Order: sequence, then C-alpha cells, then structure tokens
Amino acid sequence: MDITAYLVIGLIVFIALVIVVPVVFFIYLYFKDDRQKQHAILRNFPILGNVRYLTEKIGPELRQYLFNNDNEGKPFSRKQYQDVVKAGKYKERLIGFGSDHDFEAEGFYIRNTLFPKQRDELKVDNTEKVKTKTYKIDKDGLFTRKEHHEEKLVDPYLLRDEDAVVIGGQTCRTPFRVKGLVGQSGMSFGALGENAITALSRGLGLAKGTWMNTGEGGLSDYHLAGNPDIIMQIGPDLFGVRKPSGEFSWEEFKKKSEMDQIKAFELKLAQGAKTRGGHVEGEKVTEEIAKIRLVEQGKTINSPNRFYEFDNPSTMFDFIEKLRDVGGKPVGIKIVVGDLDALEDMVATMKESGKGPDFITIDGGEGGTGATYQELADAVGLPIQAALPVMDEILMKYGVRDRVKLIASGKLITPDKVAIALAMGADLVNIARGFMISVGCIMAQVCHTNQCPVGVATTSKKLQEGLIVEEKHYRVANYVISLREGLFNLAAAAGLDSPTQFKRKHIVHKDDLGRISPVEEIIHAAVKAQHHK
Amino acid sequence: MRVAVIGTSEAVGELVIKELKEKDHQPVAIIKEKNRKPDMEKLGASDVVIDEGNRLEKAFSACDAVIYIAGSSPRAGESKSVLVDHEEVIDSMTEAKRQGIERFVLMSAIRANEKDNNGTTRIGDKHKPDEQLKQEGFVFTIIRPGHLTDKPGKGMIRMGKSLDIDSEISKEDVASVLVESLNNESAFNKIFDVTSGNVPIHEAFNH
Repeated sequence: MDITAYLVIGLIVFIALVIVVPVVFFIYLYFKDDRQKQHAILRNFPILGNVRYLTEKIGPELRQYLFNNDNEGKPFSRKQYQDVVKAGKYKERLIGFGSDHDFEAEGFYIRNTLFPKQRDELKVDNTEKVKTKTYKIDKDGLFTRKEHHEEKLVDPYLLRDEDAVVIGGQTCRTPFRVKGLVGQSGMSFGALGENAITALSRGLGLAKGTWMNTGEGGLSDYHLAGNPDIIMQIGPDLFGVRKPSGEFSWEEFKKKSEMDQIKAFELKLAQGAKTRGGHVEGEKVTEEIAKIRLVEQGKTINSPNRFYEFDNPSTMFDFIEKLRDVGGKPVGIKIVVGDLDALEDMVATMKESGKGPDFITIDGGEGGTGATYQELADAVGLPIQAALPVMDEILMKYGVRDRVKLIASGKLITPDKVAIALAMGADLVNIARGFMISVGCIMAQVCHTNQCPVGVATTSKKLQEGLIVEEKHYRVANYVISLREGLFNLAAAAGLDSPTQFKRKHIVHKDDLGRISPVEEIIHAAVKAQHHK
Repeated sequence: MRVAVIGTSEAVGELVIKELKEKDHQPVAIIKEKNRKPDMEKLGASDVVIDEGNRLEKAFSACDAVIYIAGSSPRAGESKSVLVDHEEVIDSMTEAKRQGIERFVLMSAIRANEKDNNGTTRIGDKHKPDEQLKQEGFVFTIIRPGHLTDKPGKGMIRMGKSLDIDSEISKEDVASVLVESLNNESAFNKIFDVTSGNVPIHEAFNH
C-alpha cells in the first residue's frame, strides 16, 4: 500500500471517531432520557431537557459571582460578604464615592449628632496594642493582585475597665468581665473542623476582649488552643457534662467549671437551628468526638429537643442555681423569642423568685452552620429585630433588667448592624457566620453535607488542608478588632464616648415610604399581636 | 529619672510612656484631653498633667528631662506647611530652662531641616527649634525618624545624618530610641536621622 492508502484509512478512522462516536453517544442518551420514568421534561425533550438541570445546578454560583448585584444574595449579599473579608484581610473598611446601600428600602438608621465626640474624648482602652498581620496591596492588576502580608501593631479598641460588661456580678463567685462587645456565637467542634476552631480560638485569643462559645458539641482542645475566654454551651444532649447513661454529670460539670478559661455556661433551650433535637450519624462519632462529648464511639446520637432536667421556669431556675452554686460561674440561657406569654411567665418568675439566668442569649433563629430543617430555619421564631426590643421591654417591665445581660445574634456581621442591636437593648453581640467568613467561608451553603469546599464546616482531613490556621487566625483578630473600632466610630457619630451607651433613642426605623418611627413601635405592635393570639 | 513627655496623643507618645516605665524611669504624661488620663496611668505614667493653657510649670517641676514628640511625617511633602509646631516646642524649652531641666530630647522629622526655597517664612521656620535647643545650652538630642509605621519594633535601626526620607521606621523603635538617648552619652548634643536598619538600638549611638 502506498502512502495515499494510509492517508485514506486514517481519514476514515478520524471521521468515524469525530462524527460516528458522538452520534452513537447522543442516540444512547436520547433513548436513555426517553425511556426513564422519573423526569417528564426528559421524556418529552430528551437531551435538550438536560440544559434545565445543568443551569439549575450552576445557577447559585452564576448568581453569586455574576448576576446578582452587590446588594442582593442571601443570607449575605456580596457587599456584606466583602465587608467582612476586607476587615479580616486588610483591616480596612473605607469606601469611596458613596455607599451602595439601598436607602429606599426599609431599615434602621443611627441618629447622629451635630457635635460628635473627638477621638481623644472616646472612652477606649488602646493601651495594649495587638500584634497582628494584615495584607497590603502592592499592585492590583486585571489578572493578578500582588500583595504582601506584614506585621502590624494595632489598637485593640477595648472598652475601658469601668465600662467592661460584667456578667453575674451580683450572683457568682467568679463573674465574667468582658472588655469588648462582640464575641463568637456557638459553633461546635464537629460542625466546624479542628482547623477552623483552632484558627478562631487563636484569633479571638489574640484580639482579647472577646469570647468563644463552644456550641453544644462540648469543649475540645482546639477551643483552648489560643487561650480565649470561653462560654461553654450545654445542650439538652449534655455533651461534655454527661454520664455514660445520659444523665447530667455534676462531677464532669465541676471539672469543667474549674477550668480557668471557661468563664460562663450557657444552657441552650430551643434555638433557631435546632428547635428539633440534634442528630449525629454514627460514622461521624469518631473516637475524638466521643471523648469530647462523652458519648459512645460509632453510635448514632439522637438528642432530645428539651432538657429532661427541667420543664418550666421555676425548675429551670433551680437547676441554674445549682449550676452556679457548684461552678461559681455565670449561667445563661439561649432562646429564640416566639410566644411572648411564655417569656413573660419566665420573667415574672424571675421577679417573684429572685432567681434566674445571668444572661439571656437571643438568637434571631435563621440558622447558621446549622444543618437543620428548612421549615424550622425559615419560619420558627422571631427575627432579632423584633425579638430583641420585646425581650428588653419585658425585662424592664418586671424590673429585672439589671440582673441579666442580653446577648443578641442573627446576621449582625458589620459594626452598623451590631450598633443597632446594642441600641435595641443588647448588652453584647454574638456572631457566627461573620467569623466563618473570616476563616475562609465562601457561602457555598453545604454545611450540612460535610463537603465544605474551603475546609471550614467539615471534619474531612483532606478538605481542611485548604485552611491554614496561621494565616486565618490573623483575619479573625482583624475582623473582631475592626468591628470594635467601627462601633467606636458610630458611638462618636452619635455623640457617645462609648458604644456601651447606645439606647433606643439613638436609632430610628425608616419604612420604604421614608416615614420614620421609633423602636417603641415594634414593641407596641408585638404586644398588640400577642393580645390577638 | 523623672521625665516629662509632651505629645502623648499619638502612638509614639504612648509607647514612650510605656518604655520609660519599663526602663524604671518616672514618666510624667502631659495631655490635652482629660479623658486620656486613665490611659496614661495604665501605660505607666507616674503623674499625669492636663495641659489647659499654661500648665507646663506644674508638669515640669522636679523633672530631670523632657521628651518632646512632635508628630509629623517626612512624607507630608516638600514645601508643605510647618512639620513641627515650633512655637509649642519653644514654649516648652523656655519653661524647661526656667525649671532648671538640663536634658531635652526632641523628636522631629527627617525633613525638618528642609531649606526654605519658595520664600514663605513658615517653611523656613522648620529648623528653628533645633537651632534654639543648641543656643539655650541644653544637653540636647534631636531624633529625626523616617516615615513612621505601625509595624512591631525590631530593636534594630540605622542612624546617621541625612538619611533617605523615604525609608521607614516603626513607632515602637522610635520610642525605644528616644528613651535610650536619655542616658546614653553618645547621644548628647547631637542630631540623628533614624530609620530601621540592622544595628541594635543601644549600639547605634556609638557608630
């Protein structure tokens, strides 16, 4: 055979590969789609119908990166996300050419004064600088951004000693004094991986004046890594303070309360993400998790959604009294505000008995790291903007407001949101997802799958290789310091020398027609709604 | 040594107070806003004097030395307005002299001796305090740091005359240099430009 014959054969083979193989493949797909009985669209429009599934699948990413405008996107808009990331990376909150905020939408605004406070007049404690690292951009090109990481001594923006918030000042042998208004909300080891928890612990420890809530998953060594102040959460499953039989272990509790790093305990009643009881698959109950939570390795955990130890305010208060007596440390409860009569009943009991929690954490109930059911996250409980002023009001009505600190949480990830919560009655603010973002969360919304692509909400060793603790812990510190600095900026604008002085009168609500109304109207409306129950 | 510190509202001043305390001196902080008193006490000031009008007399009494921190950046730009508020410096010199204080350490800026080249007297006055310090017969030291940064101090510096105005130095290192110069005889009656470098601070004066 001569060379042309080879070329002809080669050509035929090439045509067969390029045309015949795809055609056969498409015919195969056509019949596969046509014959399946699951999807109507594929039976009626084989192959073409797949375009629907493809675009549906990649839709969230396309919207997040390309099509949503900067103020759209839930749970956090691109802009809110960037505000958190930039605070962590660059410790920077400056913007140019005006705000992107939608001023026509309804929302809360802070009333500024004509004569704000000067920097020197603020009651801030910047005497101990914090040694952190921030990024500095050298050159921002179209395809590359050159930046370097540099050490920096920054002002911590702590509260003065006399302004420190004291939890359990009148009730405990060891009250918890905190010199900052923002801390990390409950996120369990297990929900977040060891790298994320370690980075958070080290970052919060570095920033000082803040706290870390363990979540109900018990206290791990990763929480202790950076020596932050810790609030240990106790859920109905009693992880970390239980006997093998499942009952509350006073011995374990005493051991925990003797740890210097643990500053307070929080009983988690029904809460946004977990108004049902918790559930952990047996395969996720590793030896390490079993040891921390004091459960049996490899065995699926189905925990109750209410404590067995108490079922009404007065038995709960007795339990709290005993915890405080044994531990000597403040004890609080975490709740979602729903039925106001139940709350009022509890607060009335506080007044009558003289007992009660040292702090109440109010969750906005939107569910964070939480793997929870859609119906619970979306519709159960009042969002923070309604819940907080109502709780504050009930406590004042019964004259027990001074006995208890209010900690608010629920998407309060920037200084303005925190300040508004403080003005609505919060003494302190908890943040969960803002801190997740600062350790690398890209809002992929797969926390419940253990497949977090950035190694934050996963226990997978492989995925966690992406999360470098040393780099991320600086971002955590920068973020929390940046929040505190922002709070002082806002306080100064409102004519206050410390953000601890934010009151209802410092904010107003503006509706979408531009009418403004005071916070009290929310309370009136809530009371009215309760009467119609 | 009891040392009066002027210019405490900025970070360098705060760091000087802290460093003085650590080196067993007794810093006297002079502040303009009374709200800053607790901060100064916390940083280690033995005494805090609020400078409302002319209170330097009280502040300087029984002091052995003055550290005057004139906050300014050499990068403020050529021919920009006065980098150092010379009137205040001169006032404090006069008071120090009256109270018999001999030691005077001034933090100026590398560009403080910029020549008057556009005819405005304000710029020409920049070096005036430096001149006066020499004339008044103080045991003086003038430290002219480069561009101040918030980086942590390394304890390693470069000292000389007419160093590059673009070079940087951390505020923490400048504070250490100011405090070190108090008792280091090699620093007496001299003017130094200081940037970050590779010589330990206590040795740098001898070079």
